[in-house]
Amino acid sequence: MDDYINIALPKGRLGEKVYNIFERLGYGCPAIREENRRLIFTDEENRVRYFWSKPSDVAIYVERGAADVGVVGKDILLEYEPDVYELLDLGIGKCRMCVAGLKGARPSEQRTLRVATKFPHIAADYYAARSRDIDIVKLNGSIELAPVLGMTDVIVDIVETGKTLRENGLEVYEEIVPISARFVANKAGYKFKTAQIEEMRRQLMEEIK
Amino acid sequence: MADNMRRDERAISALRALYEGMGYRKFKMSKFEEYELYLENKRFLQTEGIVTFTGQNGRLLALKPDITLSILKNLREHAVFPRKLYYTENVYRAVRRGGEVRERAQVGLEYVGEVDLYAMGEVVSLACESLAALDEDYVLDVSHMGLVTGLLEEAGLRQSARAEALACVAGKNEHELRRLLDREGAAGPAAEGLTKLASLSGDVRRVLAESAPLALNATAQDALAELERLADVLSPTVGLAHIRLDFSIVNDMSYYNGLLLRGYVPGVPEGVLSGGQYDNLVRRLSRAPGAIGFAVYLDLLEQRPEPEPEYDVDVLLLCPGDDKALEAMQRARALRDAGRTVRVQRETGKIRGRETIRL
Repeated sequence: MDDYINIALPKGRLGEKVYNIFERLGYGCPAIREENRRLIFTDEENRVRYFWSKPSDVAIYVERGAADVGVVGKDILLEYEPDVYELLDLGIGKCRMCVAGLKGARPSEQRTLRVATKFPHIAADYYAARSRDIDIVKLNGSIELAPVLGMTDVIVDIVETGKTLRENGLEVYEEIVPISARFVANKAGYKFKTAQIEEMRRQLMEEIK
Repeated sequence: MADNMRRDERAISALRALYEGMGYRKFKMSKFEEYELYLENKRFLQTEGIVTFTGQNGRLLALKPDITLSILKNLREHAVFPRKLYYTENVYRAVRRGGEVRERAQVGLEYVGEVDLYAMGEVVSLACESLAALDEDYVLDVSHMGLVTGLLEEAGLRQSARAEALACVAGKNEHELRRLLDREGAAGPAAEGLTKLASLSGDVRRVLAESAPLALNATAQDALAELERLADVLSPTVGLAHIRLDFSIVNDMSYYNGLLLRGYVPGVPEGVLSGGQYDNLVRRLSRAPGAIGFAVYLDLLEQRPEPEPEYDVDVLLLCPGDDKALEAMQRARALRDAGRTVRVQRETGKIRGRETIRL
């Protein structure tokens, strides 16, 4: 095990925003800005290694120790509950996990509620806490389609501006929980690189104030 | 010959010597238990996948996911304590949530009886020595249930909020813990104390020195005093260099009441050693006054990189035909009896010998 810090970042807008923050704090890795399809970038001077991965996979890399730390949305943490330390709420990538459905309608309390979602665990937990019996339809994308086609009564999904919902004749019924990007760490990695990880957390905390 | 033992065999051998050296006796158990035993103690197991099958008489049996429960069940009728037992067994459980059930090699020990300062000192130092046998750069985290129990009492959180608070502490999730405490209207020293549990960890003496904000009631104070006394017996014996206090380590209150242990070695992303004092469970299942123990998950050690051996055998003896068979047998046996590994075949093939002899 070397003294590099291995950082897993989500591919996409959020990951790039987070990288910019890390760069400002002195954990830069210029090679990462080069146009190519590489997935791993190492900076010997700052002793960091960055990996890009699918957003929902970042937590897995951190949980399994392939990365010491990472940035991942709270939605992923709630859905998969990886065994990691959640050291900081970065306060970026803000959105909400909501229950949504056809505008103006409210599903009947009498029947089993049909719920379409990419987050079956979050949906199940939410309704179990309300003792509501539900039928979960797990979909992988374009969740809004389900209630529009009448396949389900509602959806449980992430809402940012609400534009997609509105454009499809849907509206938010209830907010489940606010979501944002979190700084997470592998539990064993934290034991062996405590000083470095705590320093990173301290700097991030200062930065986001 | 010891060089030829696989790394895990060496580990088991080293651990057995450590435990037998301190008077622990080997506990051998059957592969199966009644499923009922695990059903009744589900939360202690912390595993969802249990392999069950129907035995004779239609009983529902399970491939054991755990040894501790079987040991306690076995001691049900006993009244003489302490009993000091160790085991090397395979258990059948998933490695992580949602994973497949796998056969996992586990070594562990249980000190069943009144857990006094000596018992704690012995078990914790054996935990250190177990980890040291696997990697000299190990870390053993120690915590105490009395802290979180005491602070939750003081904070007066409702039941539903307690589970969430525990999860935040376990995840070192200070920011969400603060939000939860705000939401529940918990404030003051107790709330501050709970938040400190999530963050306070590191060198034993330093952490104890900074623990004053946690000592808010008798439960928490007793826990800290116990940790202090433990540090005093560990420091001059096994030493505190590899031990850390980490109060974010918490466990189920209905089972664990005292010390909690979690051990790590470099190269393995999860704790390889886990244990603690679990009087609450013991008293429910047996007549013992208490118990403290730990288990080491040897299967997790496979993940560590193993240096590729340069040679397959010491001597590669090439025997071209039947006329050389007798010589080959004689030389091979002589080499082996002299403590070297030897392999006899017609051609070299893919075998790498430190030395090659062609007859």
